[in-house]
Amino acid sequence: MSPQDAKCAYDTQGYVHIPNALVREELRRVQSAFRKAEDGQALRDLLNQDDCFVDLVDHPAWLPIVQAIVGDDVQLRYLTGGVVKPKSGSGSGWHCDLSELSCVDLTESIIMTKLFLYLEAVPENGACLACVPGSHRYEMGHPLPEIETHADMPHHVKMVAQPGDAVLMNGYTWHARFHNNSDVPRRIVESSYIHAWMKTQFEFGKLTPRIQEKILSSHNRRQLFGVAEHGLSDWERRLEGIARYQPIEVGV
Amino acid sequence: MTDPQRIDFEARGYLSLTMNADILTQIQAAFDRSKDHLDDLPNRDDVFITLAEHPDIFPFVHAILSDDIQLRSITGFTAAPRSSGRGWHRETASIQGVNHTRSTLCVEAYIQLDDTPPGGANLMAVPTSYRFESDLPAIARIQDMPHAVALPGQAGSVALLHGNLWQARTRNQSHVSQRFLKLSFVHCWMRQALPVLSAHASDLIGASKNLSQLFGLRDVANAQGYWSGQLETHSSETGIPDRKFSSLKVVGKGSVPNA
Repeated sequence: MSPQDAKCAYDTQGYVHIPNALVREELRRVQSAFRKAEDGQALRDLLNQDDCFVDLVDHPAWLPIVQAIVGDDVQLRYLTGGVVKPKSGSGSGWHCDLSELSCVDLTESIIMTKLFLYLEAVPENGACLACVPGSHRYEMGHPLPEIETHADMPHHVKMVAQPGDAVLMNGYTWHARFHNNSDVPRRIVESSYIHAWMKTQFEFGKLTPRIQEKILSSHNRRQLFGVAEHGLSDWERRLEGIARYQPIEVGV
Repeated sequence: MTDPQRIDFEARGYLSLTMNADILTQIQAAFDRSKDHLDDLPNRDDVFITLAEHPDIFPFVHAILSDDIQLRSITGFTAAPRSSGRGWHRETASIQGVNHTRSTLCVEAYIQLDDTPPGGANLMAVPTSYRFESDLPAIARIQDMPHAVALPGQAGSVALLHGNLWQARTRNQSHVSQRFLKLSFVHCWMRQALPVLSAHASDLIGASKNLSQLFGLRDVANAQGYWSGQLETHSSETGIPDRKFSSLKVVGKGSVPNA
């Protein structure tokens, strides 16, 4: 899927499903590292658990898409792992992640976008992410309907996923996670992408020295992981290959 | 903030205020003591810390930016005699991802510490321009901008500018220096551009919940605390433009697993 096609789908629906974003050996490696982190109860600290999780942040299968959607100033807010056990009623109701945000016209701004990377298949009766296509364009004030169950939401779409699939979702899109009525757990890596002018929810200084070194060696990673660039405002950060921001000023 | 002031800000993208004489005198003296460290003001004098929540400014910026308000920076500068000005620009022009004409990411408070002398530097703005989709016109001189207005230029004048407003500062053609303070306010989920705070400044700020939020000393590690702020002793504000959607609501989870 080209970044342009993915952006078109995202702009239209408020999300885009990227099949087979991770395949074969690379997928197996991430699955294995994830299980190890799960066993060690370290899913909230994935970045320190294995290099492969750092590599996920700027993975070529989705970084160009994320850049096309979020912008050249993209940055990571957090990366974490999540497991939903089989046969559990632990779904989340329909909501919008950015409903508390003030002063930003969210219908025409992209403040935050989430990436869900599926490490196991999520069947139709599993803990599916579901979205209401186009709801990221609803005027601020459009009320959520009074409904009882997840399935009652009109026009919703459930993401039935295969291992290695990824879904990018606008933080303003109405979404829910269905209860897991299947026999299989849902294992995902969840990342939140924001802009370089926003705060991260991890501290670079708390990453291991080896991981820090891995990040510091690359321009894009320094930006993605929120490492300050001397002499450059956080309002002016741009990924590699993008011309440095030139202030526009007229009249003397 | 009164209704007429709110309408003024929404209509023009700026608001003119005045500081009382007592605090102005304190700021002028502190500015002069700190004149060689104008990028390090919070560490130079306590008045530059408490100024962030001063009643002559803060309630207005709070009403505009909402409860998640935060200070991005506080700096001083001097327009020397015969010095150049600053051309027309939008302060938030480099910020990507936001429709600035329909959002309020940043409010700048310019405080004038001196009367503007004849021929002195004037802060200028184009009313309503924060809603313009168009580019800045190709003009040669600052004063060539159509519909531009000069903002009040007395010592103690405060200009609150929407971050997307077309603004400029004319040349200081007088023989007198002019002192300015600039406070930039943003939202608590945005980065700041403050100096590293001294232990004394951190202690002073840390003793106040409001100053802790304004100076970014709070923990944003959990998602609940990331997008929203909460201030003490001030009534809650939802900001401009009005957030019209309902408060956070979750529907459809149901009491039994879906079949």
